[in-house]
Amino acid sequence: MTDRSLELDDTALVDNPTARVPVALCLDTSGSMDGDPIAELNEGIHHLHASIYGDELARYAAEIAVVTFGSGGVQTHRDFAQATPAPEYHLDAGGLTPMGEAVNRALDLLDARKEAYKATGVDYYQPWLVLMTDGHPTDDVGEAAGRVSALAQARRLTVFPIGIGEDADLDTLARFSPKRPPLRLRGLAFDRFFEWLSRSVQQVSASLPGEEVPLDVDGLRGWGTL
Amino acid sequence: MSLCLRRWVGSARSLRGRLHVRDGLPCQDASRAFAGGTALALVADGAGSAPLAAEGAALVAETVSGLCAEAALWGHPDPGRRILEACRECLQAAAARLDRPLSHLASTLVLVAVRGGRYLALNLGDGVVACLDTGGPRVLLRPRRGEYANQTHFLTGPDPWGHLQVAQGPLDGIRAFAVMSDGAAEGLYRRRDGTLAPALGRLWAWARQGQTPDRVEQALDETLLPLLAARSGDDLSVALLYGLECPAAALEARPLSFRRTVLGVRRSDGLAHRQAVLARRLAGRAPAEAAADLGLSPATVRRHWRALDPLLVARETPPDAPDRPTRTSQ
Repeated sequence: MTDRSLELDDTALVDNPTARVPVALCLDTSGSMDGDPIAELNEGIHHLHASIYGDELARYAAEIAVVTFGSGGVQTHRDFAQATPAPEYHLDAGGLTPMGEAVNRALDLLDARKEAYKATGVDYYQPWLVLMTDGHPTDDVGEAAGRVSALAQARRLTVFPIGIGEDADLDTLARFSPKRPPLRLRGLAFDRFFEWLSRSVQQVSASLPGEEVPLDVDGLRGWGTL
Repeated sequence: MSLCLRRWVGSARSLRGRLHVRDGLPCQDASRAFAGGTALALVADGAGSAPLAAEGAALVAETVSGLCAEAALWGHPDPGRRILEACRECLQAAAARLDRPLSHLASTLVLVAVRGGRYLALNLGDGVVACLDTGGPRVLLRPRRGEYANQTHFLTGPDPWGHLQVAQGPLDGIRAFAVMSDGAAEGLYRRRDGTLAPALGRLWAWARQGQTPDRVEQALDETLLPLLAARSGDDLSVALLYGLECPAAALEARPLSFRRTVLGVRRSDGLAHRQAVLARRLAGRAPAEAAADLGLSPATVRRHWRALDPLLVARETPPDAPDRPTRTSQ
């Protein structure tokens, strides 16, 4: 009996789900984004989907939610889900800038997703929130800014506030980010930003347990300025 | 009820993870197993974010191995706490020597030790301790993580005692243990319901058929760890303790390697003497009678007699089926 080798195959192991990287995009689609900005934003999001879907690890790890504020008020274009090869939604510009309501919506989606992860035994990394606007909010952002700041201070949320164009209200964006000043997008470099975002998500997806993935600060300069 | 021979033996192996190979990192796990007065299996997993992770894990493994081999530890009122203190002291001394922060040597620790019919299991971090008892395979200590996937608790943290999990007690029907790093647990432990993979039960069953520790380590290297590498890019470590046993009267029919391992004798003449003393003992002879029968000095016979004392146990129940459903306990 002792001469027999150990015989095992893959079916004798268990499956555990891939640890998730939840990324909430909270995007300004108000009337001022009409024209080139909204076109470039759509193009950038297309790039984000394609790039994450094309990465073996990030495809299963990254979960993207998209909430917009502007055309149609506050809209949830997609709840947290793995990236599809191309976005299954299209963003149109129009209307006001209800940023506070949109950020609260994104945080509510995030809370629900985290509860779902916990209930099903899915590990997850620190969530990310990307907040992009080209103007001033038209609603009260006090509650939303307070929630985001508290989460960021407690290292429970990584926040990227980004202004688009010269009219973006960076002072308001700064209220959402106690640790990192908001950045202004270089021109309409949405494609560079989403490429950087995709690369950063891929790095987290491929990180080792126990490893802290440093932010790609050099990469930030490719699309943003202080 | 008949007498059987039972010796706890251990095997431990680590495999450098795929992602470590990709990133040019060394294996940052350290694993050890040994048998003697105390049988020990341990895994220390250096933190991926720590610049001296491999060094930290190796220091932890050496410190714990040395400490557990000392009888004094087992007279301590809280051996688990003493082990943690010793690890901290060792890491602090190394950090001072290297002029680095303590966190640069961050490592988890998961271990099980068997001594005198009792076991002690410790888990600080995201490793897993599992055992095989008469009810089948079960989890003894689960991984403990922070909220996020890349967070866990380390020996170098501010309050390792607050995060330490301990299980201890009489062995009773426990026949085998396994400790594993989080990388290995990815394929051996289902997080959703805290159950174990069938692979672990099969490994235990196979090892307990009479495999020597070297043979089990070869099987870890060639079979289990490569399978696990497809499930996780992290370093992979598995350390086992298992009770090798056979009816005392049937020892003669077992292969030489098995007899050497169970009786704890490497030299041929020593093995022959110990087997001969065992045979006389089973025949109801006293040590002095055995010495006369065998033409050995009374001192030699007494030495072999004493060595057999902890190995001879009353046989309880038949070996367990390998693939029974797992149970969890905390």
